[in-house]
Amino acid sequence: MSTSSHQQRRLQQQQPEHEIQEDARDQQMLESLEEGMELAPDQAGRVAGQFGNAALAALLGGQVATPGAAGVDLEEEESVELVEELGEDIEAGQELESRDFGGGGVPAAPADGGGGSSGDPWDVGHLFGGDDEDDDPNAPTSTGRLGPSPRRKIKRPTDDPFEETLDEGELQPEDINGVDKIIGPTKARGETPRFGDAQYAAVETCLAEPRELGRRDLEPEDLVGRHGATDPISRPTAIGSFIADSGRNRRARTVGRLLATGTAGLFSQSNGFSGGVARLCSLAVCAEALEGGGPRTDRAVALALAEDAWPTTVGCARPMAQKGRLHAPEVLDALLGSRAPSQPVEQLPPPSVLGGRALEGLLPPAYIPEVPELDLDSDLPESSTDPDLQEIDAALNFFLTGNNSNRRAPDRPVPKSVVQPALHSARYLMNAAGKAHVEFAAAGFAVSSVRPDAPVRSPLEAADRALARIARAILRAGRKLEQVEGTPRTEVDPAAVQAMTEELNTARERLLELRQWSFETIAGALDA
Amino acid sequence: MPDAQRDPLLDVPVDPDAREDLVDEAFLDRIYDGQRHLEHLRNHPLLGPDRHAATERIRAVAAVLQEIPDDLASADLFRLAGDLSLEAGHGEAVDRYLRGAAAARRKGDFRCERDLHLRACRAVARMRGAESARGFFQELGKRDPEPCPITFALTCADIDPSTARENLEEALQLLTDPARAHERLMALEDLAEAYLAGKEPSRAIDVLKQALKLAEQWADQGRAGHAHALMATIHLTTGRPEASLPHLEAAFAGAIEEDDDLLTVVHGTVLCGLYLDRERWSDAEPVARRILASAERRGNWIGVADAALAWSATFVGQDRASAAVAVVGRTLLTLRQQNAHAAAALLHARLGELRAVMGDEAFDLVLRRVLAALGSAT
Repeated sequence: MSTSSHQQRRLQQQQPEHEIQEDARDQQMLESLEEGMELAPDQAGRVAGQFGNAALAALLGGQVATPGAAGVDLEEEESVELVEELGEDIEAGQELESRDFGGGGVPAAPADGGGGSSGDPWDVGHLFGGDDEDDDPNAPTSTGRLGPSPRRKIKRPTDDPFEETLDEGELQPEDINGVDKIIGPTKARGETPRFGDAQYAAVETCLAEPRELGRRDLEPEDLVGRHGATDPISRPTAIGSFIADSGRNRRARTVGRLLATGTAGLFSQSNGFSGGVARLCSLAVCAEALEGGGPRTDRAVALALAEDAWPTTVGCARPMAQKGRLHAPEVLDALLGSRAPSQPVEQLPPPSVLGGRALEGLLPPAYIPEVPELDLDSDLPESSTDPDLQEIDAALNFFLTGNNSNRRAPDRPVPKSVVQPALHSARYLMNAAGKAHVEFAAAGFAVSSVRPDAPVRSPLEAADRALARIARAILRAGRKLEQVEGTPRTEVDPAAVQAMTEELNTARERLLELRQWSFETIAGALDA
Repeated sequence: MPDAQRDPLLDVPVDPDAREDLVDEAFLDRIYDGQRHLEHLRNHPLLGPDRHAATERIRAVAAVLQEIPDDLASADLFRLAGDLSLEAGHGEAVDRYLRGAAAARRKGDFRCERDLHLRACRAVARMRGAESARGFFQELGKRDPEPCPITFALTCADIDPSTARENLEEALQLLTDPARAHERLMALEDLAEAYLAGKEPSRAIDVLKQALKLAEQWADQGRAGHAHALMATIHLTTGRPEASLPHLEAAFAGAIEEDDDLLTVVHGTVLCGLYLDRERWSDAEPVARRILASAERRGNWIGVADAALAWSATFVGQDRASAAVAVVGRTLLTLRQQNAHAAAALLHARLGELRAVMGDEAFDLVLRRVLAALGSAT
């Protein structure tokens, strides 16, 4: 994970900030192509890529800057807290003096370090897998009382405006350091084999740093405005949201829905911030376990959280699109900084349905419209079959337009407005085919971020070739349709026009199927 | 459901003239048992005790069928096995329905074949999305009159979510056969989801009450628990936690009765949170300890950490912070031994929070004593 984010940062630095070019170059290229002209896959890919620029440019233009952290003026609050703190410190001192840890009428604490006897208040007994008797004699019976509310640390004024400061509720370094001194730091001791529900580790990415998982106070506002793949609230929530939308198991979807929409209800004051986070994360693990599938499901879930894949890929693809060299495998290579891992095409990975859905969720919604059937007489007004009414219509037409000609003249050319809807759809299709290169590259990049050695290049190569064929088909049909415009009606065969729109719709179907196949197969590389 | 096609071998009556000396009696016994199981499966819905026993019964009949030619294999058996898989969300449902359809075709039972094809189509829609199933559905086409109106309506609901409500309501009107009660229950749950998708939680609750009644009628604790869990989720996500409490309690009890550790953790986790929020410490503690045991058996270490934190919260709520430190500290050490560092990090953070609450001197003293008692001081 850290490798990929490093790569992302490096690549983002490498990308120059170009202005988005006009689409004129794309149009020129289209116009330079002859009807029926066969394109090499490479050329077609370039054309598809260039058409995709329009979609790409629109996307690039629509990117939203990340809002900066809002500053808060705490001066007034701090002065109030200063007064409070003075009082609390006195109370705390008194409290400590009066505390009796294990003395008095309760079983004695093991001051000598011995333990395990039935009267030992520190032996919580039956902790793991034990019975559920309420009258457990080994239950903790310490008399340690809850102390006063947390002592506020007053932030010292600093001259350095860029110095990182902790907000009021955050755990202070000394809170965790103090625990570390006694019990040692919590660190991973390498990877050990995982069994049971421990296989579902996608949520653990946000549980690396104890200090990030606790807060001195739990306030409602601590739960809002959370985002990011490593945030301890937004990550389990995002897992729930993904499973609620894409899970196959109804129970898993129910838990997912609860996680996605009922976060606040899962926190309680007595359990603190860390307790609420633990509850969310535990439910995220359970949602995955209910969905079943073991590590395959877990990898698909991790894939659904690779939110940076799309913006990073768009940034990398932009200069390549401007040079007319937009091919999914090359974009992925550029993103990774080296040739992506591959395997022979005949050994493509098995598809991952859940992974495919995860990848689709990372991308903006695709617009791939159906091509409408053309009515070559749609520009003509409806005329009545009644001869009297026809005469009145003709008279009105003459008085209104001064035009006495018969509009149903057989040599009247087909106007632009008649073919325009189909041409628009064809253009959208070409844009979608071009955008698909970026989508597939983003999908490959997301897969690589979850498993860097996943053989993700081979499905991209297969998809690249298929996209070139689809682009050629769209282009061929589009050019034929363009030529219908201005042709006398007598020379236009409606069946031929219908065949052109059907050809476009077939290309559309293939593009839709290719997208689904590609996402599922690219995601399948995780399990290869 | 179409009338069950009689199986030529399993469904024939015993021939009184059969010569006993020529017959393998053990085989006949197996045939007899298979016949009995098949009859039971055909007449009982996959709910309650029958649902639990269905897998075994299907296996027993299938074992008998392996001894006779494949073209005599029972289509009903494949349908039932497919239904079980579909309910569990397993992909092999499609394969089972298709094999059943092929068996029905060989027998010339075209109504059963269509029924199983429609079911396969439905399973594809559920496993791979409506888009994937649309081509298959179009190939099956519409028929007038439709020989399998219920399955057709249910399939339409899965293929086109925008018409799900109308189709499910239509199917529910026809689903009156007690032998198909499990399908009715599933359709009710689907309808509730459709109402939820349409932002109509109160109608979803009404439908789930019907589902609950049906599950209880067939003594299916698990399905009743699921109906309760769905209702609880609706109440929770619509800001009515108080209304969700009785449902969560019922779902939790159902999970325990079914001995389902995973659902025990799921329902218990939410229930415990609500108890803690209401300062019902004595109710929260046994739930937390039950989750602790179930989560440990599942290897869900984050669940273990969560349960330990919930348990410790009951002490915090009763001003027994030292006991809370003891629970958290001990669990932390255990999780470290399991190399469950992510779960351990949660407990470590909680210790930090407790230190901030208790004050460093008091906390350090308590934690040192805990570690000394555990013999694990670092």
